[in-house]
Amino acid sequence: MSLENDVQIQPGSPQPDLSVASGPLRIIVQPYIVRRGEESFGLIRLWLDGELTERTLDVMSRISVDLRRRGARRFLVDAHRLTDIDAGGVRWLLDQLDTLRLWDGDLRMTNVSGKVRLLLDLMDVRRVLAPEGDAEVALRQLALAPEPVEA
Amino acid sequence: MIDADRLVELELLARKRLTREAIESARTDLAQHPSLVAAIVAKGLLPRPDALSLLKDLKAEWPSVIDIERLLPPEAPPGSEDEEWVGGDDPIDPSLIPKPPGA
Repeated sequence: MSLENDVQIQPGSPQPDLSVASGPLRIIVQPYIVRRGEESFGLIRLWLDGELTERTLDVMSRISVDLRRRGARRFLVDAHRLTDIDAGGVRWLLDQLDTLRLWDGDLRMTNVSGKVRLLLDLMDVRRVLAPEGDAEVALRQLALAPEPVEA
Repeated sequence: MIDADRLVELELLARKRLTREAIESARTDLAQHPSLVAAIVAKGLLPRPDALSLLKDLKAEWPSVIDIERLLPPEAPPGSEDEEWVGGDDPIDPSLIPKPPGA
């Protein structure tokens, strides 16, 4: 059986105690449980509502550090209600991506549309941060990446 | 390694392009609704010089909007920007009206 067929992704409920609303950004944290073969691990979906810019990076960093401390290594950043992103926000996402990959984790954006999509396109980073495919595809790719390390 | 300065530069370029596209889009929308342009101009929401500039651009691309120009409010006489122009009641001297060719 291929690894791809051996993955189950179970959504959990959004966590109000982990979610944050601060100024022009609201972040809702939704955990998922991934069962991949013999192992199981968590995956976090961050629903962003507002703007990911220099003035909201503090709260993003705080929540990210907290979640990583709890063991989260795979993040799906849902941009359905993200209204703006600037160079600071893009840099933060790219930094997270680099850091998480060092720890065998990953980060993807999904539901990128409108102005944010255009900005990411024009800044030539959309293919890195938000490859084509809907949220289900992104969740699956996060669940599969990286390949499990041989014992 | 992420080049932060390069990202800022790219963001600025991206925003400039977005602004340009938004203006182009607005111009297209306005060209399709000449009465809206006329209303904007008549209400003084767009200063006359800007309105004329916009009309000039629009006419170049969409000749059908040429009729809007007649809806522009009358231009104030030179030097009267700060004063209310009341116009004149004197009859026009017929000798000042140009004669049509062949008349």
